[in-house]
Amino acid sequence: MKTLLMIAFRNLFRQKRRNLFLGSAIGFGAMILLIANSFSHGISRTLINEVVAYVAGHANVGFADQGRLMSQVMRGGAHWKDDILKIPGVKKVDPTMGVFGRAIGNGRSDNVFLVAMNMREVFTHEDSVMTENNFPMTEGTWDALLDSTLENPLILSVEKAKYLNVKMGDVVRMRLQDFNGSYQAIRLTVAGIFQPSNIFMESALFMELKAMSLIMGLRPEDSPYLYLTIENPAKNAINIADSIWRMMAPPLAYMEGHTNSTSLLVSGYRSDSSHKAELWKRLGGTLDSSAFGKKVALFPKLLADSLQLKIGDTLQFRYAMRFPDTLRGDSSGFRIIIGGLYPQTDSLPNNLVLLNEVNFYDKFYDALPKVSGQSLALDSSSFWFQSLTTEWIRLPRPRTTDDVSKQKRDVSQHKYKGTTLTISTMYESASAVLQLESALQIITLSAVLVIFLITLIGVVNTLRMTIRERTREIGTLRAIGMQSSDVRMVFLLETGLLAFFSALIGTLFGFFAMWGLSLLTIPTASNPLGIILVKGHLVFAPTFLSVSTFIILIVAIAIATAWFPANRASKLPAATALRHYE
Amino acid sequence: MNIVEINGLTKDYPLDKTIVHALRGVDLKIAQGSLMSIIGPSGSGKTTLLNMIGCVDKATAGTVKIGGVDISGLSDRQITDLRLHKVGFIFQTFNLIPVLNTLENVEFPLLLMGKLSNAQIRAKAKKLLDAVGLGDYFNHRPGELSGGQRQRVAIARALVTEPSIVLADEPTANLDSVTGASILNLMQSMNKELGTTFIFSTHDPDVLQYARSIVKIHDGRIVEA
Ligand SMILES: Nc1ncnc2c1ncn2[C@@H]1O[C@H](COP(=O)(O)OP(=O)(O)O)[C@@H](O)[C@H]1O
Ligand SMILES: [Mg+2]
Repeated sequence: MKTLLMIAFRNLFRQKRRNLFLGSAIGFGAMILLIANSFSHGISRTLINEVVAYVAGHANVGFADQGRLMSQVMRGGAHWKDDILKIPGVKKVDPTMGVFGRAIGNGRSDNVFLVAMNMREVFTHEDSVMTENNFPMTEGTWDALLDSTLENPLILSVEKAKYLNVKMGDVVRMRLQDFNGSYQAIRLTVAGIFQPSNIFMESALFMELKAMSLIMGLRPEDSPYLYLTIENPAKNAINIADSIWRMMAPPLAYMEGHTNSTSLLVSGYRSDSSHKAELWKRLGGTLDSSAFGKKVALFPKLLADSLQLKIGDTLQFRYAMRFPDTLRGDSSGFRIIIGGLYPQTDSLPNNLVLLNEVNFYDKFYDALPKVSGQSLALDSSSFWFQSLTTEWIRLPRPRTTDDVSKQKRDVSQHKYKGTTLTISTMYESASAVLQLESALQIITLSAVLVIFLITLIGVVNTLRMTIRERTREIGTLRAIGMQSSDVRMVFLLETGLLAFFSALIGTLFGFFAMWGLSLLTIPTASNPLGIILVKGHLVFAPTFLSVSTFIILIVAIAIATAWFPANRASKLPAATALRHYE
Repeated sequence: MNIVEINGLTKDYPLDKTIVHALRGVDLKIAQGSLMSIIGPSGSGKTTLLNMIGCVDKATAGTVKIGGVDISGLSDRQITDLRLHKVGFIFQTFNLIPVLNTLENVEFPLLLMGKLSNAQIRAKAKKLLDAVGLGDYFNHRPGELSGGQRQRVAIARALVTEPSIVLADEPTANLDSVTGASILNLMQSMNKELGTTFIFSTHDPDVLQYARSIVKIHDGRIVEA
């Protein structure tokens, strides 16, 4: 084999010009292939790492309070931040929030997206690098967001500042809807101006998380959207999101309280028609449809009898709050109107009052109840569990961008009455971006095709000429005693070596070319290419895997193409080959 | 003992729409250690006959036995192996491998055999090159050698595997008469020293003096043995 390799290698230098020509073609192809692939990979990496990861985190745990898409809060969910942080591989959990609103500057107004920046917690080195990369400051510093001498310090982009006609120290007024659904008018002070590195960042206005939480009506026990920073996201993000999803299985939502001296449990039932129909059947099939109304309750018949209550009666219900507050004290309550009496069933406690979920969730989220956790214990796979309200509604883990947007659509169409929980990673949020990458990979694919053709035609032609010239030599080798498979091997090695060295050199040139191209500075502002640039530079992201794959691919194509002529040459009868004169 | 036994050998070549009868029933026995010359005019079938003996071509009819083995029953792989071990070739046009130097050309058949160590192979090749008078040309490529030198390399290459037969198809046809004579002298002395069977073809009656037996061939038939 060593001898064959030596002969093959030396043969390469026999037809220098011919091999140089073929080699250049293959090398050029390899270069194009590498550049095309690295470019499309670079684009998707830019979009994912710089844009999607910034906008959505490596993974995020999102809430939509009672079907209000912009009400991204989970009441009483503040503990989740620490629970999630305990999962191995989760590096950071950032509470954050964003809200659309109309900002009014000096005589100009514009729609903006106000985003909370978590400044009080430890800002890691990576954070500051990322922040510095995405938002290099032209005036002021990020610390200004914490400046207590200013009224609601604000940082915005050069473009927005220009548009709103504001400068440092000016006031921007803004109208927005808080998490409770009420409109707020706030005053913000311009404390810093940044130069966005890509166009996504242009319309974002930043204020500090605590200050924004107050404005948005977030209580200390509540959790806003959580953005996760994950170690090695490409490998871990999906698994971690899945385990968070498992961890965040919702318990039944109900209140333990009393009316006068009788203790009551109050829960809600799912109000969509299929759940309601099944519930009606299971509760004896005799209840009037008005009993399922939004304002009224289903009351256990036996208890009603013993309390001498009937349909239409009202009673006052009170329960202890999970998070007592100074304003409301430590208990809350509401009026229950009996809309129907349901017969006793073994599956449910005999003092369980059921409200339409629309009504129930209103009361529930307004003042979360303190519960012992034992009084309404149902098997989570049972019908009853599934038709009663849970503290939140865990939506299935989305797998694609389509899933993500469908879930958003469902939420916004009020399909869910409770707070929905969505856990997604940038790979789902960005699956559209990844699709873009696959679209861009078509460029790579066509490069592969071109390479394939070059190699095919080049190798076949070169070999045909070479073999004709060397026919007598083949005959000699065969006569001396070389097996035909070894003759074939010499030609295959020769072609393989040529392809390998050419691809290698082409790859080197490719790296040079990419290095050169990435030195160019392209203006980002109002450039449609803006989103694929990082700080005005093209990004190429070659990977070791793709480089080696391409080289192997090219060598493989060359060898496969060489197989047929080489095989034919090796099968030439020795006598015929020896008689060949040119 | 006969190293080669040929019986009723015919070889036809299809040529356009006709058939060329290159050999028309040849019977021949060649004893071990012979130095035989096959003489005949151009086109008489010398090369064809040598190809048959050297197992590079298949007979149309008849049998060829090398060392008692009928080669018609062997596979291509076995026949190739037989050539490697039993037969040495010397060609009219020398046919050295151009990318290998003198030493490597001679080593090559031994490398194909893969029986000896690299050092043994080297030693053996050097010894033979010394013997053919090319001790100072180990590193020359064939292109840098004269015709006579090339043919000496070819002889060394043919002998290096210690074959039973060395076939030389008009080995001097491309050489001037002095060089040709030295080549034939070399073959003669190798035949004497090593006892290797040499069969060479020629169309030149002057070189017959080097042979110990002569076979005349004409139009595909042996006319005088
Ligand atoms: N491959 C072949 N195809 C057709 N005819 C051939 C072939 N090889 C040899 N011949 C013919 O066979 C005859 C004998 O050829 P050859 O053995 O080469 O003769 P010599 O070596 O004595 O000159 C010639 O007529 C030659 O033309
Ligand atoms: Mg001839």
